[in-house]
Amino acid sequence: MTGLILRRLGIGLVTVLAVSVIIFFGTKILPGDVAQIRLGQAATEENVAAFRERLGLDRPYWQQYLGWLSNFLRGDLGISLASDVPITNLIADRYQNTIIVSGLTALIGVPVSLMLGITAAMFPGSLYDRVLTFVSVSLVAAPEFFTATLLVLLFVFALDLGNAVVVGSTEGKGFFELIAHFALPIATLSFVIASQLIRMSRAAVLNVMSSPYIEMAILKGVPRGRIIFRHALLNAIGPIVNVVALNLAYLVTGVIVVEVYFAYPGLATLIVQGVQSRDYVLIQGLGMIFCLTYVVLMLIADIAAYASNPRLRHPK
Amino acid sequence: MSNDATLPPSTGAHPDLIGGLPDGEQTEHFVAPFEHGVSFDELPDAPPKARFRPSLTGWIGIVIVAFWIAIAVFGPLLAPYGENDLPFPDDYSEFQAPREGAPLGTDVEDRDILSRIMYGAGRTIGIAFAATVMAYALGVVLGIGAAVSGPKVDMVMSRINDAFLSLPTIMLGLVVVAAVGSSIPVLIATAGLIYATVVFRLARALGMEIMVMDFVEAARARGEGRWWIITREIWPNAAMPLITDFGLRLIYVILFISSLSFLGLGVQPPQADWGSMVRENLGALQYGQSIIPVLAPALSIATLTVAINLIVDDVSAQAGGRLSKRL
Amino acid sequence: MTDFKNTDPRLLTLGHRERQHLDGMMKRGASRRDVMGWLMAAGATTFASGTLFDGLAHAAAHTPKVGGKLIMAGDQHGPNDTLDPALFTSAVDYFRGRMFYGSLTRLTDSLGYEPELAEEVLSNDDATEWTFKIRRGVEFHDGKTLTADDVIYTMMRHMGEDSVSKAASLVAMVEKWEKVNDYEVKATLSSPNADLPIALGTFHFKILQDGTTDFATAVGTGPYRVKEFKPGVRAVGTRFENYWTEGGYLDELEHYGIGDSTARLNAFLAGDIDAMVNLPPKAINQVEGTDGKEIWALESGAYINIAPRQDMQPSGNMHLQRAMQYLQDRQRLVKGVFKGQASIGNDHPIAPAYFDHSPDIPQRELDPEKAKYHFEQSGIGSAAIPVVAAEVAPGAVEQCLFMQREGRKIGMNFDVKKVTTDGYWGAVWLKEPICVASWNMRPTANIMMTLAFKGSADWNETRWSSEKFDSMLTEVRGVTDAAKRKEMYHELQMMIHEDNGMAIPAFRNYVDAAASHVKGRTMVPLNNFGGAEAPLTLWRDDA
Repeated sequence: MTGLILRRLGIGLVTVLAVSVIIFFGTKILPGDVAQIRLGQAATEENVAAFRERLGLDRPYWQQYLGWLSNFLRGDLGISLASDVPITNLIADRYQNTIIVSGLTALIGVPVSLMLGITAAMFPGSLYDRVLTFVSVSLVAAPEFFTATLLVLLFVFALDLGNAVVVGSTEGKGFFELIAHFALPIATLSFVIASQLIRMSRAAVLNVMSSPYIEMAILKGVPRGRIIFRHALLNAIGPIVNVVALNLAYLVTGVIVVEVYFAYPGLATLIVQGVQSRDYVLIQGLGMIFCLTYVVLMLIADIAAYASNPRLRHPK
Repeated sequence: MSNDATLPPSTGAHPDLIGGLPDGEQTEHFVAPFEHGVSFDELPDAPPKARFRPSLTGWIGIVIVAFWIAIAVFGPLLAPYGENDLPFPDDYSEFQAPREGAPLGTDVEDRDILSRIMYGAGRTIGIAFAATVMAYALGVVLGIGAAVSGPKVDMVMSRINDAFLSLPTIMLGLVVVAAVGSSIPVLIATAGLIYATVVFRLARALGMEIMVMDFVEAARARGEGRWWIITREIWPNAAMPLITDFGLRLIYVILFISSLSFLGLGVQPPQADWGSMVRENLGALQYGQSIIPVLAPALSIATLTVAINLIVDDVSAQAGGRLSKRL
Repeated sequence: MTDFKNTDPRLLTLGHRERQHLDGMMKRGASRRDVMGWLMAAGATTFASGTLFDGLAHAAAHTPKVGGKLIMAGDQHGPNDTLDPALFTSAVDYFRGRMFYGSLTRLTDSLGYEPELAEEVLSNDDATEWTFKIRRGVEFHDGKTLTADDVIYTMMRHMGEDSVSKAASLVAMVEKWEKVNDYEVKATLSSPNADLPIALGTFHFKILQDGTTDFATAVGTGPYRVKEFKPGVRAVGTRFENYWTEGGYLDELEHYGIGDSTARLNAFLAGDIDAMVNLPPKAINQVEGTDGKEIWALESGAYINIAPRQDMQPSGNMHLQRAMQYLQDRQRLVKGVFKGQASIGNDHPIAPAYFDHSPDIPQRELDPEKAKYHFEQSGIGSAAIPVVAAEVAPGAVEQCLFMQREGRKIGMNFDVKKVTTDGYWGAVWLKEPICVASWNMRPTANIMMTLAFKGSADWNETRWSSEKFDSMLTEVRGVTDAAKRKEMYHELQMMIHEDNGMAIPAFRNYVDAAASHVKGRTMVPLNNFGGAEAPLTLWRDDA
């Protein structure tokens, strides 16, 4: 098992390296000269040239790349082109929000969705199952900003609960206060991930249910609830953990629309701002952080899959 | 199993902004996934032979999809107004309720909603279809190619693919569209490339799974060439799960484009597409005379999506007759 | 402080500008006789004017209450938000600048100036030498006292070739700044400029402490001190107890950026924030109909425009430019897009809100016939005419889409490309053959035209250059004869209207919204929230 995990780690590292190359050279295609953007239109050519030299932009790309990578490994993401502030400072402010929102969404949305999916799998073809499937399919079709608007109209304007945007600081807030603080973003994101999680967990359980040993158990007359919780669920953990990990990665990296809509500063909006202000140093740093998040989550998912499935621990 | 039985294919797919994966590709996970117990849940136990005979829900789905395709093709001919024309040029009030001359009312720029839905159908479905076809063309060719190639080629291709998968789709989309500017070909190419990574994973895994099946082993033993194996053995067996996935991928592309529209990078005004129609008319929910301007495009997306899902579910249910169905 | 709804039914007979003027009168503490006289001249009956005055006077008689907290929401914001006044670029920066800093002069609602950190401003006869006497006993947030060194340090940052200041051109005629003594500085100019004290009252000339290089926080002389500043997130100020004069009434003033206008409106209507900038015009009716919410509209000379470059193709084609001007659907912009919170533009930048506006230039209207004539003359045919637009202000994209729609009717093929807003100023503006822009009002017509229409100006969008125009623009600064001055400004505006090629279809009002408990609004028409001057005077009615 250790060998497998080590190999998995190695693959993760290779992925990160590949991403670093893609990101570094990919951002070079963004139009606009960085020094020119930074200095504004009043800058003279000498100013621009001096600035390029200071940033090391006059060196060959591969040298720039190595310098950038080694800085990244030392935790130095560079200085933002748009604001002259270290990237780490910009990210630190927002990472907290992102972690709080994705963490709380995971705590609330994931267990609820999984329970719904698994119970649907217990009664396949029932009215409950059909309704749930229909709802989750319809949810897939709803753009996030549409869901968000409906929630705002319902909770904020019709029921007078909660805030339409996230205003104020998170400092000194307790667990439940934080939930109230981010109530609508959490609700919107829970809906977004619910649709997938319900479908996946249902499918994963049903899939295991069709394997020979479960068929055997059914034929032997073991009660359905017991089959699901004793036998099927344990074997479905691998795929389910995988889906959960994918959704967590999405919650950290992909929630741009929700962040913009509820106007709280998180990592995803920072990317938008980075792209808009052509701050490619910021884009590179964030890209690497997103990639690391993804790789680490997948690693955890794989280890969980190992741990939950003895057969995987002892490959033939 | 050829090369990397122990190499985890790491993940099913990348979660999108729209956050969804088709049922078909998820249970593929870690290590030795090719044993009977853990495999694609929707993958048929044996090569599908039976013809697809839709159930009632399947028929409903087919009718709705056919309806939208008809609108997509003929919409611009049938629409009462042009997509940027004003039904009431002397009126300066937006979000009008349905009235004579505008059966669904008017939008944020006082244009006819019905006409814009009809124009938008072609663009929305067309972009999604073109991008998905592109994703499939690239993903399937490379994925099955990786599956039948040697371990080294497979390794390199998979790592590069993983690298792209590990970046958020919307971030990739943003950077590309911001770099080259938004136009319909750019949107199609961007969405197509991004989703090709997901299709690659699916196609590769399917190919690998089929490669180790008895009938392929047998074909190999007979000394059949690689091309023969791909066309005669792998493709017929991989087609059904891929077609299942195709429908869902279509939906994600629609949502991906609408998210770009939300950020101002999607289909360019005054052109109509459903996703950006929802976005530009969002204000109607708050200060419009009617909420049809935002409901109409949202419902159009929803009906199309649900209909595609109905067909997909029907196809996959027929493909794999399972004990679970009989429980 | 003034306090009445611009929609007060008793005011319906008055035009928007009259209401604004009235608001200003009340705030300046005009007498009953003055106000009634003015109202009757504007068409109200004696009775109406009397009751109206009482209502207004009652409202104006409110003394600011101290205490409470307000959250004011801006729009465009991001990692490049800054506390360095020389680098301010947006309304959020300007607002924060007023929270934390002070300036030598302060602009008034009528775009004059009054002394602030300079207690006296003196000039020689031809306005080439200006002396500023620094107010004594003004304290920075860290306890240090303001002296001439601080002023000199601040002003030098706007001087010289390598200055990073965004407003260097406003003081480009200043040759040197000298310290006369600890409480007096002198500016020597290379050419006369009677408007220097006005320029120094604008956003970028906030006074820093001598030697300041770190802008992670702001140590100024303003009514609030920095409690928290996170670029792209929020800024929070707490009352500075030792503020040198009246002002800064709140315990805490928070400025928060919400880029998305729907989100901003939601937050405002739900009461999460107390006031917001740039209310989407289509939501004006809804806000007016909501209890406890008010529209803060302010007529100004801010405009949106489409700029064709004279030195590029196809935009350099004179007939194409004229066709574009005749294709502007000005009425639809004003009535449909701005919901009346705008006035029709006439392809020159000097709105009626400017003192030097010329009313005698014939209005250009939507005229497909004339447009068609010029289009045919241009010889462009069905070739695509690229237009790049971004949502830099309400109407900025619509003006292009309307032009495209009208153009299609006569066979013109405009290819409108919409791009994102923030990278727009760096990557697109001034670079594409035809693109849009949005301009704030400047304190004087001369400053406006110097910044954006003088041949050598950095921001000369069309690259139109006329020696006659440039020399007249400099000359008019020294003209004291009113009639001559009027005549010259008329001619300057006429030249732009006829020759520049720019389409300026509408002047937009600044339309903000605030809850009724927010008092102390300012009316300087140079930016949102009353020229971003509001932080000084804001207070809470229910504090």
